[in-house]
Amino acid sequence: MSDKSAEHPFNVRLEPPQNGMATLAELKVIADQLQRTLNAVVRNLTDQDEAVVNAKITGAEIGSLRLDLRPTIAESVEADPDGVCSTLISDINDVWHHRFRPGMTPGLLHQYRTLVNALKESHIQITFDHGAESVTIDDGFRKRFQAATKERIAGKVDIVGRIEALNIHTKPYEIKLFPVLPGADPIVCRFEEFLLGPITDEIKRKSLIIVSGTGYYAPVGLFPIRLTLATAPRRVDFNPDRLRRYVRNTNLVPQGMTASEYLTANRRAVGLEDED
Amino acid sequence: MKTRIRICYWDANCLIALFNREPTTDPVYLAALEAAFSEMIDGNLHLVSCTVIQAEVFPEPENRQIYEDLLGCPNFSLVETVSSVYALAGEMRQRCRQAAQSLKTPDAIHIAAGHLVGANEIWTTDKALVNKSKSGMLVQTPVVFPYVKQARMVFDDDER
Repeated sequence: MSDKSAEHPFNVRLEPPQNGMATLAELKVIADQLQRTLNAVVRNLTDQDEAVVNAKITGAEIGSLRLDLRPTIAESVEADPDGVCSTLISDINDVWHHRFRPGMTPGLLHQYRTLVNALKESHIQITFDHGAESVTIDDGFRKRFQAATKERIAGKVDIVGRIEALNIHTKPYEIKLFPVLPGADPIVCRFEEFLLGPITDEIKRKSLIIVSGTGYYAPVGLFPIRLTLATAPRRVDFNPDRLRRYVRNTNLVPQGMTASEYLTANRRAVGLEDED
Repeated sequence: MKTRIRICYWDANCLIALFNREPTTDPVYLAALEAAFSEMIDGNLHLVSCTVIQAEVFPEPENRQIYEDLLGCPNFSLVETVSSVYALAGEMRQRCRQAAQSLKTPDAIHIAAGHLVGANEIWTTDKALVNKSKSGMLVQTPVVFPYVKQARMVFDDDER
């Protein structure tokens, strides 16, 4: 299988405070997080779950450590390596400005946050360069990035999905709910001990369930990243025959009303309709 | 390499047209809605809408079961109207206002939700929305009338 390479190199510069030297351990941390982030970006851009970026080291300098990387991607992946590098840098810059690219998932945003905070404890300044684009991450940048990515609490939300993992070794107890929407990130659901029985039953049954609770949302994505369960999960039935029977067989729009009038009246009843 | 199945977002107009006993839309669109709904049930298409349809389409208690049954389908998702949806809906409304056109809030909410959820297409039977999408006033995700996806014919020569 052939690969395509980025036209422009992707440079990483680490500048420890007071002209210090980066350590091998710090290099390992940033290399690991950068690799994960490049993979997360290409998956987000292509919807190809197994797409990866292979970043070859084409140059290195010590002092303030600088690495020159040449990202490559398999030809079969519908993304170009320069686009992936450019998205990584522009996304991080945009988030700092509290702007979020439509389509960015909470998982990718979480990965950006991990990358930005990777060398936070050692106060190392990180610079990523690619073509004309650049981002420099220092302590001030990290602080503002943290504020921009703070989660928001929503009211009660209902999510349909499947439970595939359970943690009852430490409190709070947690399950991972996988929403049915393709590509949606799993949601961590926390629950109290009294729900352990019904939740264990549902895990054994492996059925589709609805969970209800307080949702905590990232600034991106339409599903919560975390949920605190208020009640036991409820099983939902998939009944294809009943669904097919509803088609052109339901009295929704009252006699004498058009579909448009029906919709307008329903919207008005809940305060959704505006004057436009 | 695994590629995800097609995701199609439906606004309230599509759901009313599909379920209502009396036809409320063009027969061509209705046939396309039926075909897509069947594809969803068979697991070849993922349909998405947002939670406002509960109030827009199924406000009557006798029709709530349809809503519940839709939720039970593993190829149907409902998304919440969170702050990012309202923000994008507001941007679209402002763009339309600047062009001396109107875009109703609930319509803008559906289009924003369809775009943010990453749908391949947003389906509606509302001509005004399709026209606004064509003129670039909405989002990158195309807003289109329901249509039947043509099967690709593969001839022996194509495979050589």
